[in-house]
Amino acid sequence: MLVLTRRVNESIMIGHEIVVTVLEVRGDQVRLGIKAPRSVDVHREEIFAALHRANTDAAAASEERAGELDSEVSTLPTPQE
Amino acid sequence: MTETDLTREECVDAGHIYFPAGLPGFPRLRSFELVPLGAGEGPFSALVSCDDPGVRFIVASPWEFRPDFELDLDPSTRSRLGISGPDDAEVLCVITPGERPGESTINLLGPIVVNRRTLEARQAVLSGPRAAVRAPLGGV
Repeated sequence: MLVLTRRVNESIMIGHEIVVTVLEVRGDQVRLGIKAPRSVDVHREEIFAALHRANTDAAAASEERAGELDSEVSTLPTPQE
Repeated sequence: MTETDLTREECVDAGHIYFPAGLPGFPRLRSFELVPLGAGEGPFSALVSCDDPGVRFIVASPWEFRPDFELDLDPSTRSRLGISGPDDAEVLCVITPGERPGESTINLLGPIVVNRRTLEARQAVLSGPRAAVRAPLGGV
């Protein structure tokens, strides 16, 4: 892993278009600002991992179970407003 | 994986939904078609990849299952999607059908938000209180 030391308000470039700026350091928390092109999504790593797993599981669901969803929800109680 | 390389223009011309950044787990799939599931009378649709037709997600509006769902997007996500008001966005949550009935879940943390005008979409992450990635479809 590449390791760089930066101060508040200093940045690093990733490729030509992604800029990561250290905005604030307070105790064990660091606030970062990220500028990235539209084709790049930025996520907290643990949230990305959770979405990755959920999407992979969702796409792997069988046609059979998918086809049963309508009858599954018809037995659910109506959500309350 | 078989991948045709539909351009963004071809995709929008065909009325398909375009994900400029793909989806987590499926970074190379950009173009999806939304088709009603089954007879089309239920709340579910299938989001089928045009790049790899073997990949499809079952999706539904979160309000079908959580009438109090709030689309709490941070300003940078809104601006990247080009969404200024609630009418600009179509919101689709990914459903994971369970192994058995009653075990199906809905991803309330990462809704797919589609700009109705441009048909550009992203899997957003809500910025409010942490919603569940696998909420029971039938509620808590």
